[in-house]
This record gives sequence, C-alpha cells and structure tokens, in this order.
Amino acid sequence: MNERTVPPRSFKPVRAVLELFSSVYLAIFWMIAILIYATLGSAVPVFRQFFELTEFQYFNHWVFVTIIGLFCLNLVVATVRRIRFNIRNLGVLMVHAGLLVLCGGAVIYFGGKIEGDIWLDTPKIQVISLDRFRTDADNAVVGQLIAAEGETWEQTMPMLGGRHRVEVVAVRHSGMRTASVVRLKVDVPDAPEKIITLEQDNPDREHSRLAMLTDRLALMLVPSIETDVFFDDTTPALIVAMGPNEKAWPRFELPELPYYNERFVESPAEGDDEIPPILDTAGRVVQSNRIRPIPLLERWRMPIPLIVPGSAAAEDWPITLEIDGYLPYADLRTVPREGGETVHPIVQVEVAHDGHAHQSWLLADQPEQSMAAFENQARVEFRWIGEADAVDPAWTRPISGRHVLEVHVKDRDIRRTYDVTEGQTIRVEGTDYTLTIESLRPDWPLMTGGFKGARTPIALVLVQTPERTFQRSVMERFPKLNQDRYASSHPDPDLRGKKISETDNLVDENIELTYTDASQHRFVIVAGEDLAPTAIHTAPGGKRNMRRLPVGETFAPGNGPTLRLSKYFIKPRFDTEPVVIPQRRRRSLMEVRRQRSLVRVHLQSKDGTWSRRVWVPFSNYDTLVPDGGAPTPVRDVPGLKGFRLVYGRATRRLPTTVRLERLVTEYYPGRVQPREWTSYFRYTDPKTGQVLRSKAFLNNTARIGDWTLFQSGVSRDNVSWTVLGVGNRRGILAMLVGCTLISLGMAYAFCVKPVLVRRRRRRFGETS
Amino acid sequence: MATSRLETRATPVISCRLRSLLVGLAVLSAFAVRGVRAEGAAEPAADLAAVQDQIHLKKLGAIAILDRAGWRHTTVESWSRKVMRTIYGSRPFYGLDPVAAAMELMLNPEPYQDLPIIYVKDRGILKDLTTEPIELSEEEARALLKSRHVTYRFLTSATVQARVQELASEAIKNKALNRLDNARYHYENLLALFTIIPNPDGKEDTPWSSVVSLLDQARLDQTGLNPAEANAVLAAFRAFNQAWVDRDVAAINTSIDELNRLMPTFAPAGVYPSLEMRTAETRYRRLDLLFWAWLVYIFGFFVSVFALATRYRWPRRVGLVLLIAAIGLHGYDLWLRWGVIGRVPVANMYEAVVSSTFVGALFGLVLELISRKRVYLLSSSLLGFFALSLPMVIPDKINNDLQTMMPILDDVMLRIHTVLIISSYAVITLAYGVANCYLFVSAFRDKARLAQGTLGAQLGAIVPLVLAKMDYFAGAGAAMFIGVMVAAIVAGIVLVLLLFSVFAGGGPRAVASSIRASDFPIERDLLGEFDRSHLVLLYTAAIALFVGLVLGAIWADYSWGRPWGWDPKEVFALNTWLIYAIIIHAKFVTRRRALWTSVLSVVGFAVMQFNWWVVNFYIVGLHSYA
Repeated sequence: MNERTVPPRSFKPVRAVLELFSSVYLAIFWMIAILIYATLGSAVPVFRQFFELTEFQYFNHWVFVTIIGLFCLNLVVATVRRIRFNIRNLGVLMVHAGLLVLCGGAVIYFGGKIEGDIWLDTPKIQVISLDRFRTDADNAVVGQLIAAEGETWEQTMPMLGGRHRVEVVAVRHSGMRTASVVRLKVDVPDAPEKIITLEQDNPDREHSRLAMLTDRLALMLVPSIETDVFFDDTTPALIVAMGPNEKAWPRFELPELPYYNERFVESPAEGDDEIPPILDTAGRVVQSNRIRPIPLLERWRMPIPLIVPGSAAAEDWPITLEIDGYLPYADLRTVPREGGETVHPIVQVEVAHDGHAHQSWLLADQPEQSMAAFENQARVEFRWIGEADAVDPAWTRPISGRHVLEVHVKDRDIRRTYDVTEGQTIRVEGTDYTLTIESLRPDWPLMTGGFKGARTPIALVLVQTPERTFQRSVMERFPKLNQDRYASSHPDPDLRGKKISETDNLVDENIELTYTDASQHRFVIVAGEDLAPTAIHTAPGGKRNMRRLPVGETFAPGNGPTLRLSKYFIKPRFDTEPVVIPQRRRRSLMEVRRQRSLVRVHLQSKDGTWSRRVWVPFSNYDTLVPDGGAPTPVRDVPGLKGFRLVYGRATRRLPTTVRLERLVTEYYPGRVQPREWTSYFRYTDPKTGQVLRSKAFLNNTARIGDWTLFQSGVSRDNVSWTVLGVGNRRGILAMLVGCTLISLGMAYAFCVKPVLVRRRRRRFGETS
Repeated sequence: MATSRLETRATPVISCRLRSLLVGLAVLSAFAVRGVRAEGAAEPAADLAAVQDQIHLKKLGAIAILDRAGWRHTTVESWSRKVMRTIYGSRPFYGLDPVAAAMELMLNPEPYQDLPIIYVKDRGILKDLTTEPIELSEEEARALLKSRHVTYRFLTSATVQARVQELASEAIKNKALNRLDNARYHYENLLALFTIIPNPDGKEDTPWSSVVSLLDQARLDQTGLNPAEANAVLAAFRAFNQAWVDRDVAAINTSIDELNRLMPTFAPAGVYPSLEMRTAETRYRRLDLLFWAWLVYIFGFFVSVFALATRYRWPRRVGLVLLIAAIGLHGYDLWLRWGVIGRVPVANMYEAVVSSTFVGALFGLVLELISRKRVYLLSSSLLGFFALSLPMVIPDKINNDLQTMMPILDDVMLRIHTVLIISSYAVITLAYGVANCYLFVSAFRDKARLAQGTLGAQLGAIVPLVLAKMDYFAGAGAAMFIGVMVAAIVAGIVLVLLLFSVFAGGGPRAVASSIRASDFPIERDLLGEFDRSHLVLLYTAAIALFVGLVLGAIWADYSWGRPWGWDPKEVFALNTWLIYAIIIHAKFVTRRRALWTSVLSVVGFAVMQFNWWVVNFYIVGLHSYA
C-alpha cells in the first residue's frame, strides 16, 4: 500500500467524512470492534444470551451488520483514496475487493438463511400378535424389521413353539412408492420354509399388505411417509391439534419467543386465577427474568398474544390464546396430591441400603407400577385390599427357604411346603402328583392384557400325574394368572409350550401351587379403606416381620434395607407441573436448545368466565416420531372439543415431496460406533415431474431445487428413521469468489509484490 | 501354589458375589476406609518385576484385540497402555512394563485390593473423598492427597460411595467423577474388556469376545465359537493365568505362543490385523521416539541461543545438526503412527500438536537453511521443545492413544483444512518465538518500555497457568481464573517495569551490555533481521490460516449444509486472522512498526492458544471436546 500526499484543503463536511473513512486508524478501529463483538458473542455466551440471541441471530443483528457496513465503507474509501491502481498493488486490491464481495455475499446468505430438517421413516414390516390384537391392540406389534434386502427378524417364543425367523429377500420400488412389493423368506416352527409376498396396493388382492406368519402371528407392510414439509430450526410454533386432519391444524409461529431465560408472567391479571409458583428440582422457587424487552436491541416479547379478540383468526373461536410463560431447561412432572375424586391408592416409599437411598411411587391399581426393585437389594410392593380390614394370613405366615413352593391338593386336603431348587423333583406325599421344578426366574415380565409391563418372580413347574403331564407357570404376585401349558416334552411338537385350554387358565383345579421368592429382601405394604398401611418384610430365607407403618416412619427389620413411607394417598389428584433444572446443573446437559423447554399457554374465554394455563413441552417433529411427544390435551374448553396443543417448530415446504427408500448404516469394528449413514430417498423433480432417486450421506449433500439436504441424524437403532438437514444457500458463490480473491491477493501481496518492489529499486538504483 | 483367576471365577456371577462379599466385609471393617497402604507391606509385583524381562512381552503385546471404546482392532500393547493410564495414571505401575502391569491386574488382582492403585486425577474430588464423614486420619488424608491413588476397597466402601453419589449432583464435578468411575470400571472389568477372541462367523465390524463370554453359557452363542474351539481357548487361557500367578516364565511364554497361534485361526479372512501391522504398532509404542526428539530439541534450543548470541559459525552448525536429528526422529515417529492408524495423524489433540510441531519445525529449518538468520533455528527448536513437552505436562488432555477418527471427520477436504490450520498455528508459534527475541533485545538494549511490559505480561501469565496445572483452580469457576490471570498479567507488567527502573544500573545493564550490537563478531542490524524474519512468518501464517478457514468452510458447506456457523472455534480462528490483519496495517499508524508487530504477534499467539485450548476444552461448540 502506498500513501499519497494529500494537499491541505479547507474544511468541508463531505470531505471530512471522506478523510475520516480513508483513515487506516478507523479501519483498525472497525477490525478491533469486530474482534470485540465476536469475542463477546462467542467466548462469553451469557452476554448474547442476556439479549435472547442465538449465535445466528447475534451475528445477524443490525448492530453487527452496521459495523460490517461501516468497515466496508471505510475499505472502499481508503482503497480508492490511498492505494494506487497498478500491478504492484494488485494483491492488496484483490484482498480489499475480496473482502467487499465476501461481506456482500455474507449479508445475502445470512439475511435469507433458512435452516431446518426433515424427518423420514423407513418402510417396515411389523410382526403382529393376533392374541394381543384382540385384547390390547395398541401393543400388538411384537417385532419389526426394515423392508430392505438382507434385513432379518428372529425371535424364540417358547409359548408359540420356538424360533421364528423372517428375512427380506427382495424389495421392489415403484415410482414414489418405496417398498411397493416385498418378498420374505419365513421360517417358523413345525412348518417348511416358505416365501411370502407383501404388496402395498394390489387391486387384485384385498389386504395385500397383510399376510399370516403362523396361525397366531401376522405380517404387515407399513409404508414410509411421503412429505414435502420440513421443520424450521429457527422459528418455534404452537400448533392447535384439533381434528383428525393434521394439515388443517392451525399453526402459530412464535419468532418472538425467548430462548435462554425463564420469562413468565408471575402476577395474574385482575379476576384471573392465582398462578402457582414454579419450582426447580431442589424445591426452590424460580423467579422470572425481566419480561420487558430492551427496545431496538431485543426482538423477544412476553406475553405473546396468539388469538386476540377482534382479530380475523379469532372469529370462529370462543377463546383467546396467548403464551405467557417460557421455561428453558425444564420438564413436566406429574405430582400426586391429596384431593382427587376416585380411589387410586398410591404410596411413596424410600428404601435405604448400604448408604444408598432410593425413592419410588407405587400405585396399587396399576400392576406395572405396583412394585419396584432397588438394585437387587430389595423389592417393595403395594397392595390394596379394598374394604377388607385384615391382611391375608397367607402373606404373613412364616416360611422357611429361599424359594418356597406351597402345594394344596384339594380333594385330599393335603398341604405341603417345599424349599425348592431348579431341577428338583418332588413326589407329593399322599397324592399321585410328581412335581419337577424346571425353572425359577426372579423377574418375569408379563405381556397379558391389563398386566403389560408388570414383573413377578415365577416358578415353571412340570406337573405329572398318571393321567396327564403339563407345565404350570406359578406366579408369585399374580396367582390368578397361573397357566397350564403342554410340556416341552409333549409328543406333538405343534403343541409344546402352548396353552392347553382356550377358555380356562388351569386344566387341573385340584392342585393349587403357590410360589414365594424369598431369595432377597421383600417388603409388601398392605392398606385398605379400613386398614392403615401395614408393612410385611420377608428376609432372605423366609423370616417375616409385620408392623403398622404410619407416614413418615421407617421400618428397619434387622440388618438389611430399611423402608420409609413418605407419602400415602387413597384418592390422589394428579397435577402436572413444571420443574426447572437449576442453572448450576445445566452445563452438564450441554446445549439442549429448545428441546427441553416449556411454554405456558393461557386460554381464556372471550366473555371472561373461563380461563386456564397449560404448560406444553417441546416436540421436535410434532407428533411424527413415536415417543416424540404426545399433544397436550386441554379439557373443558368452552365450545371446542378435543382441544390439544403441540409446541414445536414452524414448518416450511420443499418444492416437491420426498420419501425414504432405505437408511444404510456401516459400523466401525465392534459395532459400537457407526462409520457411515446413507439415506437413500426418492423425490419428484419439480420441473419434469419425473421420479428421481438420490442419497445423502456424511460429507455429501443432495440437492432438491434451491435446497440442500444433508445427513443430520438417525434413530437410536440406526435403522428406523433418518433426519435430513435442509438449508438454502443464497450468496454462497459470492462468498466463495470473495475468499478466492482474498487468498490469491494475500499470496500476491506477500510473495510477488516484494519481488516487484526489489526489482524496481534495483532498476532505480541502476538508473541513478 | 496360588490359584489362577479363572479357577477362582467359576462363573462371572460368583465373582460378582465374591466382590460384593468383599465390599460388604469392607463396610464392616474399620480398615475399609483406609486409603493408604499399610507401612512395610511387600510389593506384590516385586517378583514379577524381577522376571518381566524374560517374558515375551513384545509377542504378548502384538496379539490383536478389539478396542470397542476406540472402535478399532488394536494390539494388546496399545490396549494395556490405555487401560493402565485409565486405572493408574501415566506413572509406571510398580516398575512394571505396561503390558505386564495390565496382565497382572487382570490375572492376579487380589493382592492389589488394598493397595493404592486407582488414580484420582482431580485434586478437588480427592479432597471431597478425604473429608468428613469419611474416616481418615490427617496423616492418611495427606498421604492420599500426595499419592493421588486410592485403594479399590476404599473406593467401593459404603461411605465413599455414598459421598460419590452426593457429589454426582454437582454438575461441575461430573467430569471428574466420570473419570474416577471409568478407572474403577476398567479395574473391575479388565478380563471382560480383554476381547482378543475373533468371531469366526463375523465380519469386520462384528464384536470380539473375551474369555468371560466363554464362561457364560448364555453368551457362548454370541462368540461364534463351537464347543471344541471354546474349550481350546479356555484351556490356553487357564494355562496362561496359572503360569502368570505362579510366575512360571517358561509356561507364560508357552501360553503367549499358544494364544498368538490360536487367535488368528478364528478370524474370518481379512479381519485379523496382519503380523506386520501389529508389529509396527508395538514398535511404535515401544520406541517412544517423541521423547528422544524432545530431548534433542532441548539441546538444540540451548545451542541455538548460543549461536544467536555469539554469531559464531560452529554453534549454528551444531544447532542445525541437532534440529535435523530432532526433526528426523519426530518425522519417523509420525510416519510410524500414520502407518499404524492408516490416515494422516491430525484427528485429535495429540496428533494436531505433534503434527503441527513437525510442520512448523520443518518450515523453520527450511527458512534457516535458506536465510541463515539463526533466529529460525532458535524458534524451531523452541517450538519442538515447548510443544512436545505438552503430552508430558498435560497427559489427560493430550494422550497418544490410537483412535479411530470420528466418521464425519473422514474427508479429504477436512484433512487439508486441518493440516493447513494447525500448520498455521505452528508458524504462529515460530513467529511468537521470533517476536520474543525482538522484544528481549528491545527491552534490554533499547530500554523499550513496551517491550519490557510485554515480556512482563507473559511472565505474569505463566503464574496462573502453573497454578492451574497444580489444580489450584479445581472446582472454581472460570471467573476466578480470568480474574487471577488479569491480576497476574498486570502484576507481571508492573514488576518487570519496576525491575528495569530500579535496577537500571545493575542486572539489566549487565545483560544489555553483553548483547550490545557492537559486541557481536559480525556487525549486523539484529533487530532488523528479527523483524524481517518475523514478517516472513507472519505472512505465511496469515495466508495458511485464511486458506485453511476457507477450506473448512467449503467442507462445512457440503457436510453440515452451511459454510459458516459462527461456532466459537470459527470465530476465534477469524479473530486470530484479524489480529494478523491489524499487524499488517499497523505500519500505517505507528512509527515503531517492528516493535508493535512483535507485541501484536504475542497477542495473536495468545488468541491462537485460547482458540486451541479454551475453545476446544471449555466452550461448548461444534469443534469442542468440552
């Protein structure tokens, strides 16, 4: 850079500005300003978080854009006024021109940047249990495999006769319909291997998506979704999920929703219900940050009206909606409290052992939640005896042994008690019964309708009499579910393991078997309408203790674990309330973004007679992803039925629809860490209407129109679904040109220019 | 005769019960909370240490193993070093070779239950574990804090576990507790982690098994071995275990040969690493060339200081020979590593430091050979000496584990980007060395206050870094560290300026007189030489940094869908470049351009270091290890 000598001139404002903007001092000042601005926003995140600005928003803020603009102005003026346009200065001119092009490109790029992602699932084949379909249709799927060549599903089901295997041998795609025809090789017990074909829509074959695997299992082809919608990462939204047609659900975009700090209305408006305090996980009251934004600098607001009386959108609805609270790093929890209307007995217990204490809620009328096991040190169970006023003597009578089997042969009224082990054979004295203990399992999961997820110790006992042989499953906790099945040695292999009677659980009512697992500490809390909570402790070996257990007291039988009854409600009310993670514990959760945030929606009838506040958790993909967040129902909304809310992201449209064909995952040795994910998908070319196949994989994007799609995430099992990032990239070419100019310019200025200058000096030296 | 671990472990369940029993006994025992070894206890490894030279440890180390946590097939040699560092830290375990140490803890763990072998890296956690309600005498607590090792029994005692659970609720201690938990997990599960048995039915990614799986009927199917094969492996391993416990060297070596013969026979074709690869990995581990390179860099540094100060020719020649030797050792080490991991070694912190140092030192050597300025010789040696000491000073952050690259980083463009960026960092470090030469001469000879203050600031900044290394800030927030850093820098500036003022006629004058330009054998413009050398480095760094940034943006565009995300790492790379842009423009706004260039070069180096360490380890972002 060569400085020109500027002759002194009289003061003129325009010239003064030109002089100012041709100053290198000022250029250095702008560079330092950019440096400080960038450092504050990047190294001190709390600084930008104070203003509720994400990194993207912070560096797209008008303050930063203004600094960049003034720097560019400085650059232009200084370049024009201070640098001679000649071959020696080509380098610096290129660098300065490159900087201008780069800044221009960046303003275009970041000014119009949209980022989001699209969720696509793979076509699948589901294995459905017909037995369960009849009793509990929601949980009838017992297995699943991806509709892709080579995929297999294999499971051994003793109750259904043994090993079942399904393998996908061929998959055909047709246009936008992926996995339109799937051929499967199936291998099930007692049947020759066969080929089954499933088709998505075959006009000649009714229910072509379904086929029978066995007489009790069916196969169903489930196509993947086809969508042209992606979720915008930068704009949250509130969706009113009312009615079956998801596309018609009203969506309110919330660009003004805060991001980093708790902001909520604490004082109710006049005549409004009282707002309960918000607590953190340590039980401390959480205060709201300020709810008035700084004008010009901040764009968030609180509350955010959604449907205001008098607005066009509100005409059809009898209520108004507004967001009046936002909590980052918060979850919803259900808290039982006194004050319900129906009987749902519930206790909170604390079991302490070896210095460790664990708490748990137990619900007597929910089998899957009526027992808790604590690190194999103890089990606690809660039983409700209703109107009875005394504990069943069978629960308290002394036993001896670690696995106790009690036998009652009714016709002869013979009762025997045995301490049993696996493989032991017992001839029941005075009877024709011979019992063989085939298996003792401490934690057997139940799949029976109404008991799904409940667990119990179980003894599988082979019962033999001169007339018949069968296997009885003897459950400790749910004896009424005991079942008699054909023995595994039955001559007819088709019948092995199958239930003997279609109508009754037991085929021999004469023998009654009761099993007690006393291999570990076990507490049973018994309570009834006329019985205060009473705890029965069974120690390993069978020793039993019983005592009344008032709320707040601890039961310490011997040297083992202790039991404390913390809470006990007969008619609880289940309140859903937010619980906030304290600031000091947030760093360990890393950057959770919005995914662990809640909004509070205030609904109010227009006539002011009804109002309600509801906390709604964030859902990343609306209701698309299984277990990804169910809509939050709002009851008793005047004039509106089935009113549900989803707090998610705004949606944008791609120029065409997309459907996933297959997600392929490759692994590093050990199959712990995937090496590569590739999403093969199909889309219709927006211009030609032709169906095209494309793929996105790590470090390789795909393009649809102006949008770039890239591999962004996958399901936890690495096969079920994929997430493709979606983004636009206007201005990117300008930025690339700018960067190239700067790079070449620097190389020229630092490497070529010194040579040219040396030559020139030498030439001048020779001349002089 | 002692029994082998496999004999005592009929099944893993029994072992667990035994361990629970031991833990239970520990609760009852008053000595359960003793964290230090009883005085006069014999070292159980002494007899092993005496015979370890006769054991074929290289052969044992060359057996392939699947490191599931590292996602690669590696060797027992690498695995042993990794697990021993996790359990015991980086010091040698009772004088044993790392392979022998790992085998000892795996096959003969009982004698070590009451010995302090579990390393607690974090002093804060150690303090938490030695205070009430944990019963320790003051002396025991002091000994524990000094040794930083606790016994397994102490760690698993009920009171300590209760304390650990309590601490787990404090997010700031999570990382330290995870480290401790990991050490315990490794100690408890060494045998299960020793996955050297390939799956005959598997592919390259199929998990391998340990003998624990062979002992467990439920898991036997997953190993892919038929009963005859399983029995053969068990027999070989039992023999190895028994021989190890008996310290029967001949039998140990026979068992090693048997395991070496047996294991490859189970692997499907192309899965088991070749003998050449395994031997290369073992050789790489055992040579430890970087240590020797580091030593040579140190000698080279002192010789080059002499060469620069005296201007004699022979010290320069000796310095050049030493620098070439150090670079040769350094380069050969990198070459071996490259061959072992099968990719350019720039994927983690260790590799970035070592590779960039190599590039920087080589660049400095080339410049020295071309220009003969001597200052390049000095700064290259300084760079090598400084950078290669980092893996020794902070081994938990910079360790030489052989790791598989994160899948998303496996891209040619990204490798070029990384190489360019880290090379620019190395050149920035070279420039920093030259800048300090300039500042040193300016401060002493020209009495430049700015130079004196800058040197003082650097000396001040060293204090909090040393304190941090001594865990002085353990558990304290970032604000405290920043506060101490600012105070130390200010104090350093004031102190050095005062020293120069107060002792103007003493030490500084004496030093200055010794480096007076007129004293040099050859009269030259020393500062001018420094400045010109400095500018060459600064220009190179600015170009490499910018081109590296652009290539990273191009990669991010086709990988993440956007070229620039304002991620802290990106922002601070840009900030570093902005500092150099300011340096380049400084000549238009100051008469003491060269001095300001040196001062700003120090600032640029500080920003680069911040970008490398603070952003990588302490600020959450796309590039972070935080």
